[in-house]
Amino acid sequence: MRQLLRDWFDERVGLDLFERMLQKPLPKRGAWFYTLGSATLSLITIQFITGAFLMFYYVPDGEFAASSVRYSTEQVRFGWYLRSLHRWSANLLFIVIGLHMFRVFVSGSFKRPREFTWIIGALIFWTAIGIGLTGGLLPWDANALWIGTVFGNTLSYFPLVGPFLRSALLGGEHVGTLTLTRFYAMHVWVLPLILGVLILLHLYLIRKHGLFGSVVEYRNQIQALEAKGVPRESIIVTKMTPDETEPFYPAQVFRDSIVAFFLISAVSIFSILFPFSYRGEEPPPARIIPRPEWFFWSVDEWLMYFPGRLIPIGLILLTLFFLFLPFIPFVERHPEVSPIRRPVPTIIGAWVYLFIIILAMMAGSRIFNY
Amino acid sequence: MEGSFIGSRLAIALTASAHSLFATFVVGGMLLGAMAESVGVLTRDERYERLSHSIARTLVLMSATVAFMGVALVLFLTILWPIFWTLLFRIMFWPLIFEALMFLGEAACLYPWYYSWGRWPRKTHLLIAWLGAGFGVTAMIMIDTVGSYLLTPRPVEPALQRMLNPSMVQLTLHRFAGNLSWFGFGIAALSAIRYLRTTDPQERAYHEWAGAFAVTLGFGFLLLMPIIGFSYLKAVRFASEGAFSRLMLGEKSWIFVLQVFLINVLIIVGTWYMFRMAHFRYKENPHFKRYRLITFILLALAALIFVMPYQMRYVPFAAYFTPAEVNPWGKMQPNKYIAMGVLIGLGILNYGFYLGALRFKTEWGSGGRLPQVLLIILGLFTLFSMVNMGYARENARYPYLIYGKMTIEGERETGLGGGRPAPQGPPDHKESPENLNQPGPRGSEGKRRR
Repeated sequence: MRQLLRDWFDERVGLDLFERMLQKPLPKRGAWFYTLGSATLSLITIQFITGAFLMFYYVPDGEFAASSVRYSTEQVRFGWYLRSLHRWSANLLFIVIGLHMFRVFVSGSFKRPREFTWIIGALIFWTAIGIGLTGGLLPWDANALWIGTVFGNTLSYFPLVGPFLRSALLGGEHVGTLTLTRFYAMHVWVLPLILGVLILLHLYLIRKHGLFGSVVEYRNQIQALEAKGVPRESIIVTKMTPDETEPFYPAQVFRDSIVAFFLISAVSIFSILFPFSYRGEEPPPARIIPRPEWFFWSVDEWLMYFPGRLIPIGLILLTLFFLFLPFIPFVERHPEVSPIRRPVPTIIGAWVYLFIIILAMMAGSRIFNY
Repeated sequence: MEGSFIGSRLAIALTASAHSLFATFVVGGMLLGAMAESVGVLTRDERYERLSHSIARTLVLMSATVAFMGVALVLFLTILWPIFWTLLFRIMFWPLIFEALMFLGEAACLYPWYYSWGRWPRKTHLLIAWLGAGFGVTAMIMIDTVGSYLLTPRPVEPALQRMLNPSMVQLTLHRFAGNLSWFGFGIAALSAIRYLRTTDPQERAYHEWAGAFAVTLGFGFLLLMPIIGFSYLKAVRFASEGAFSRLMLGEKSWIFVLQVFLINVLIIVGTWYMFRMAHFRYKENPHFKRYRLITFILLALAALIFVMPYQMRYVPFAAYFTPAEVNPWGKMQPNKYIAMGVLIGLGILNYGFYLGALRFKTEWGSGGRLPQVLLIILGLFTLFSMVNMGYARENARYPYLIYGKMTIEGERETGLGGGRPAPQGPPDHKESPENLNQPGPRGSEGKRRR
């Protein structure tokens, strides 16, 4: 019966493709470290599902947006839970993406021939930031209005194109219904569509080149080559097959499932213990201080270092940093992948991450106290 | 009685400075030691093993001094400033107790770490090292909670607000980076001294390498310091404006100018050292000499602008040279911001070149005396910088012991006054001509302008 069913499907959709995907050999030694990519995918999936349900109730209109959020949070059965799941998984997503990018960078996995996998990954990161930013405005409460205002004003500091960027994004000089509809359109279909396409491309490239892992996976081959007198500089590790492999199914699927289960549980527990409540109709505080989402804290703090006329400098430096990300494989072209043997990128990478964390902590302290 | 009061301030200041100098060295040392041992395990390079072993030995010798100074500080506070100490201990009971426990944990890891060298399994040994470093960092966070509260206090309840007061995170980050930078330059200076004292080529090679490795850490974290320091001062400005004005615009602003001078020296001398060490790699490059010249010119210009005092009237002896009360070139915004940006930006660039060159350095021990002398200068100036910054921070809140809550006068009257009437509360202090450091908007700046 099982065989019959399988043959029936195979004749119509071609199961061999899936079987080949499941049998794809993966490096074995650092297997748990390679679950960060699938963890990112799991969280994005949660975002898509919960976001779709939230769309059922959300009204992207300046007059009704806040009350629709209130309705979905307070009246719809488990609406608060869905909304909290959406917010908490978004929060966790940025941590997991950050860890995933750090692992890939430190392990040198982005090197030839996997440059495009990295580039697509960096574009996914940009898109996720865009989705996070546009989503911040949708609750349409006091803080959301400030997010829109601050974002628009910040963009306007770009030399030459600044005012145009602001009016294009806000739909005018000030935050209004046009801003809301634009942010909504970006948040629910433009950027998610781009994200979906990028994820498919990313997965295709991983499938094509295979998972690199890290230098540990190729230790035996490297030692054998060095014993033969081959200089380390001429060994291109990224083109080798790992010393030990195992098929994607069942071992790695099992690990990915465990991680996904853990993440869903964590997001669920956070949603129940610390749900996001509706705060739109609270009386406006005497001193409104815009509070960005935590994943923008480091950006917020960075821009604080460039007061007054210096803001464009901070903005340009920040933009250059983000623009630089996809080009990393073309800057670091040396075939060495060991983090210890390429101390410059490792130290600079660690330094950048440390700096981002420090900036976020300082902004967090400021936001907590004022 | 006045003499004994000044004596008590001096005793507490000296003990606290010595204690924090050694304590920060030990915290930075545990981290760097654990890091060096881990890199040694990964690379199987025996030099890292030797470095971490010597760090462990240094720390074992120092931790007893830290403990002694800590006990002496508590003793002096209890005897000389009992009111302040009782109040502080009641407010910060748990952080202080936890800090003592963490120090105990650090010592309990440090001794086995050193004495079990080569005897315990490698993984256990590494675990002990990192555990000790973790205890050390936690102890530092606890004491920073107390230290930051003195300058930027918040209501005692809720506890979270008291602990996460406005400057707590910034002070912790500043200390964390500072400890690593201080220890990095300290170890580099000690390696330089050992290099200069030995004639054995192998020993020279090791000490030159150890100095270069320590600078990697010291200079890397030095570059973070002005950025975190800026955020720290911003937090102080928002929470305790009088203290900020006293330190940045008031009568103690010259201390901060001195601090900037020390930072400038560290960046310029550090860059000089890095150029010397990277010379072998870039000397064939036709642009290298020009780039080095331009770098030093830009660094000198930026350092000059960065160090210029704005409030000339508070700079000692400045009146002999100029009648001007303020110096418009010394404005923070945008002049000093740009200068700081140039110093940090060039620092990052040269640090990258230095790291890139070190990767290819195979011959060690033949670098000559100059780089080692530069390392000793770096070590000494880091020491001055640590002491000066501590002095600046503690003096910013004068005449308060806990900013806005308790003055030093209160301690004098009740602790050592022996029969003088107790202070009547804030209105009396406001009338004092010495009291220019009022909490709240404008603070001493407002008084000074009047």
